[in-house]
Amino acid sequence: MRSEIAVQLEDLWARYSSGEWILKGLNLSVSEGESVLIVGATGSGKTTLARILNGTAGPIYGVEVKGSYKVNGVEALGLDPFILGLKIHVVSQNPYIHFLNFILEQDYRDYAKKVYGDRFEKQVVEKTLTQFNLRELRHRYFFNLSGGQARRAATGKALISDPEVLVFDEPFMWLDDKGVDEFLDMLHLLKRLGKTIIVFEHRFNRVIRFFDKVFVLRNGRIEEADLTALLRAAARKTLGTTLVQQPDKGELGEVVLKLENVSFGYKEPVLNNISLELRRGEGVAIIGLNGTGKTTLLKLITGYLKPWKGRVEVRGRFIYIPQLIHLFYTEGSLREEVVKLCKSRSGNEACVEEALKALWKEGLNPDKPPSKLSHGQMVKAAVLLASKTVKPDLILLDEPFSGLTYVDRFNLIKLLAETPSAKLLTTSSREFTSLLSNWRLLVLENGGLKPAEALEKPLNAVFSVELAKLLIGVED
Amino acid sequence: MIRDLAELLVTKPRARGFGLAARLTIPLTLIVLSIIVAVVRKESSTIFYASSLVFTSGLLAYNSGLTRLLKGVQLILLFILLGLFINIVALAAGLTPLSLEKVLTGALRLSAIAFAAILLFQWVGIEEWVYLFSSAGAEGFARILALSMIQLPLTLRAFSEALLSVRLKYGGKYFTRILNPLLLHAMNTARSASETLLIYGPPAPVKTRMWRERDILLYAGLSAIALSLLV
Repeated sequence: MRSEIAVQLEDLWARYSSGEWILKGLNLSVSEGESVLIVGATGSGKTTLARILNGTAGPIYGVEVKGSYKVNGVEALGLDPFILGLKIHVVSQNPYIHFLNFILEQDYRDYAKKVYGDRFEKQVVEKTLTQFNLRELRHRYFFNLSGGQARRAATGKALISDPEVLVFDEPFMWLDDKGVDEFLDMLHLLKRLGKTIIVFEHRFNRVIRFFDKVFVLRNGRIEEADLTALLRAAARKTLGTTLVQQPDKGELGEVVLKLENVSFGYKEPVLNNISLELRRGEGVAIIGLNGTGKTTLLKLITGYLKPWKGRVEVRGRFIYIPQLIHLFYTEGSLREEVVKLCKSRSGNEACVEEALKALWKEGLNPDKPPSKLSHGQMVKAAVLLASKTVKPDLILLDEPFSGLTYVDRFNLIKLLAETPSAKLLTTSSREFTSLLSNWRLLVLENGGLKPAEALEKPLNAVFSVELAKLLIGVED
Repeated sequence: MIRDLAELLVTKPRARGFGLAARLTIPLTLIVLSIIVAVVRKESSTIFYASSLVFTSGLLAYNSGLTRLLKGVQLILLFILLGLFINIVALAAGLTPLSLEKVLTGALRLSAIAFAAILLFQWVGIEEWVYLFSSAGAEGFARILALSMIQLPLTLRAFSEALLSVRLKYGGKYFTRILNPLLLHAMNTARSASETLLIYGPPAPVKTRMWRERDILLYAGLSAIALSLLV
């Protein structure tokens, strides 16, 4: 491995508009060709750090930054983000925002033209499309790409300028298991190309061994983790954990959802002869890769889409918790959400009291605006708000685990286990499905539903939670 | 439906077959004429709106194919039909002074304006808008416009998610509350997209040909539609 320093942060401080300092004298050195993983709790400053690295923290978010940030020995604070992007490129959480032209190839060519001029533009784009297996996507609209495809396309675009350092901010957001594997392959390719890689990710279980070093961002500073010691400690703690239990089949209530031979498609058929019955108290998890029709199935259940054939019957009231969780919230605070929801079902003061008590119990301050909650807290609060106010017969959750930390996933599963409504969730990853004890696991593929098995052992999931807790310093 | 509409609002490669001046003038003139006729002209202008609709539909079908066009405009037509239905019910109940002819003309007018607006989206690319506004010294506006246009398909999808989520959450009540999450979503997306502009640079203005020979067909069509006002 080469020994030159690719990225050096020295005594770095950062804060938003005269607020509290988020980064407090952070120091980090990443050598050329090295690959490092940075983990940290929600709100620890990972995204702020990513914004500093791509040069947009100041110009877009008004972040005050002090200290030194060097790329290949050159001071980078205050550099134009376009110039900085030629040396260090950050692929952000949302891959869809990287495009400035609807058609992928055209978007690549526009950027290549700015970097290399007209002469080499085509050559560079062709090379990138081939290298990242993107040729079949070249004429597609960016907004029609799946999460995995969009991530690959955004990474390909980042590599057009051939930067020496690549930074990924939560790259697994919206990726299914296949997408995670593809991303890992891509990391190996980048490593072979001699790139320096920095990844911010909290779903690290499957990738942790790829990295040369693991750092923890905590209390505004970064320190290297002693992974061997942490793995040992996590293993010890795992053995003492009690697993979450859902009520057994005997406690199930009346049927709340019945699908009979439902078929649906857009241009091509997506779902074929789907049949499913769900009872109150029961939990069903539908596992499927991106693009298999999970969200379509949920939209058929909600009545937003009409089946080509077959029958969808829903009894009682139901709630839909979307993947873009911030779209669930309409009010200025959780308290106002509670009041509005109780009012919507003509609930009285007792309804409000019960819901507020439940929020406090889960550590959620009702006076906090929903937009100030972390992603994990938003999902948790949505389930609580629904179950304590509306008391729906059925809760539909579209990819609730996506973007959640391991600890948040574990807590959400516990919360769902205590919720008496019927629950139907979709997930594109089998990770953690082993913890859904007494849930029915179904896999959606080739348009049909069939029973599935959790591929991992429950203790593996618990181990991930314990390791995450130790890494980021979360108390039990 | 929203997904199909989003696809319809994207620039089509076939647009480049015509000069930029015609691609701007034709839809804009049709929109402006439709509005002026509605305000100024008292008598019915059904032939004008119908011929405008046929003209723009033909061009849109040439750009995207008839099936895609029909799928994409379902949502718009649904709203127009809904308005039409409400008016007819009101008419039957004697609640409105509008005649059936006026109600139908109104629906036709809305469709004609909507189709011309879609044509404008399909015909003028983001980099061409940037070129036009930058030439007029409004670079800042050009960037904002580019950002809004590129994010439009994703915003429409977010709208569909919010619509579903809020409707079920409140059991069909408080429908207007949907605006709050959408506003927040738009703000977050705009900031993220601004990052993209800084990192990748704004879309470079592209100077395209202003005139092409075949534009004459478009101008002839537009003139014929305008002349129908004299009928």
